[in-house]
Amino acid sequence: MSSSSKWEAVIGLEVHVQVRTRTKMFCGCVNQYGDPQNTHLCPVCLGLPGSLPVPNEEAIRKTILTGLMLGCQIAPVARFDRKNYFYPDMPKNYQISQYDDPLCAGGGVTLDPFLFPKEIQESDEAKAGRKIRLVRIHLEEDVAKSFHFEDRSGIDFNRAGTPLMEIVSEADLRSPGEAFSFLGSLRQILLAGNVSDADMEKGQMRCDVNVSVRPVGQKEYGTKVELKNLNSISGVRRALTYEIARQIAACEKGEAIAHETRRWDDEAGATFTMRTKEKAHDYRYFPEPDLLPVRTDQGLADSARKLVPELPSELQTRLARDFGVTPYQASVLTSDRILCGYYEKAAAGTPNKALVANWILNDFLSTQPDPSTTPVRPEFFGELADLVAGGAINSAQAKKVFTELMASPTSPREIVKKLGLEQISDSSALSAYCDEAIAANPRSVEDYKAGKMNAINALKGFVMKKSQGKANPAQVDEILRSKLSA
Amino acid sequence: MSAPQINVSDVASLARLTLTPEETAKFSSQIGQILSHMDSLKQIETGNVPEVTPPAQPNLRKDEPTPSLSLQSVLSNAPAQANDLIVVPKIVE
Repeated sequence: MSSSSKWEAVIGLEVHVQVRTRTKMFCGCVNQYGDPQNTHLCPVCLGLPGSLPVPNEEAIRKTILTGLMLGCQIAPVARFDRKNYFYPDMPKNYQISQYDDPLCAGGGVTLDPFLFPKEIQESDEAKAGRKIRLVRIHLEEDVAKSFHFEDRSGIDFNRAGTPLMEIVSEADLRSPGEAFSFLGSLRQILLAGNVSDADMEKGQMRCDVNVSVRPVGQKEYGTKVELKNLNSISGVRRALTYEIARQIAACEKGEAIAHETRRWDDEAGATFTMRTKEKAHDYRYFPEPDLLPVRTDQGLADSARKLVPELPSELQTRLARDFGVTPYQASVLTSDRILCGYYEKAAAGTPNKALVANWILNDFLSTQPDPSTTPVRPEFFGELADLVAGGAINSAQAKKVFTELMASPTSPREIVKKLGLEQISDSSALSAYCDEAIAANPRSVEDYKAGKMNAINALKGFVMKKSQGKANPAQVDEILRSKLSA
Repeated sequence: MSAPQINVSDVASLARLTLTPEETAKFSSQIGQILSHMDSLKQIETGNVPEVTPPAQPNLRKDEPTPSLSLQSVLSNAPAQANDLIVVPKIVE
């Protein structure tokens, strides 16, 4: 037994997600990333005395929508609280957040096997499809962006006051691979609901990780360490892999794990102590006196319910059931809704839906990576699939048609005519080719009759060459066999 | 009733304030007085008072932009600035 299999990791995530709205959480300043610094500010989001916050209805609705998509209970009455701390990225010296009465509680994220890292998608862990429970989702305001210089810091307050959801998981995750799939699966749901673009590399989704280790079978948790500075889903996986190994090695040497926050350095591939948590942060939460409680049960929750989309898991089931695609293809299509919409249109008019999926996911994507701007009309794929399935062209010819279709998009039927590719399925014409083949290759005929079944391939090759590749191979095979056995 | 205690040194460190021992003692007693005054609220019997129901239509805002301040007026309040950023003492946790 390897030493690592005696230990089990326990992982919980706190995921911050920027809510996509036009304006900030408590004022009408524009919620827009990348604009000139300090240009989307007003007395409210600068925390000037005398200003009053007014909540953004859309941000609340999108948070409720997120809760509904994740199976949370929606609080009929939610409240805002002040979280007090003194830091220059927060102009008021407190952040409006939610403490006792968040908008959403409970719920969970089911781990999609195909959103595990590629090389472990076939593992039992990936196939298990575990559901990771959520503690809660609350809504708060984001803080400003800081830039650190040698001897001072500079602040751009544009992001201060923009709506931010915090999604907190239970400590249900057991491996870096599960954490990877959790974030991918969660992101896919957020994208489906149009709640956020949730791109970690752009800071639209940010993740703090709590991780501890314990001997397998032990109920009590070990001392947990918080990891920060995780800027991608794969970064989370790498950081966890490192940190779990570090903790196991320390435990096996009998060292105590310090209760601390560690910073992941992606380049060094290691975590480093940021601060020890001798004293818990004292945020002195209290109810936000400037804001009324929010009733969600008077229309707000209902309006969110109407926005619940077809969820990724539902879409995957439908694609497999109605389109006959493989689970893997269903997963790829689900992860790109624009591509999926294109595919659904392409496959709508044809019974050969799986064939269309093969073309779109393999050949099409490699030549036309953006289905939203492609000049190739989706119906053309259905037409092409029907031409192959009906025997008008063979699959080698289909490849030629496909290449032409990408180069100058027009109806595959037209292309077949233009390239002179129509397959010969007329049996009298094929019969004549076959007679010619038999006459010209007495050796192969002899071999075949002597029991060398492969010898027929030479005859087929002759027919294909004579017909310039247009002969229907299945029919040729049939005719040759009947002639040779006569 | 004994006056409620508050750890003034802790609160001062959270607020990044440096206090002399004299100030700590003075504020401890002053804040203690405020807290014991607030404590008198706890004496009121509220068991029979129904909880106030928040209004059905809370004061929410449509997601529509309103004008922001000009960069110039934003920066005019800042003690220090550079490159359109508000400059503060170095902060690294």
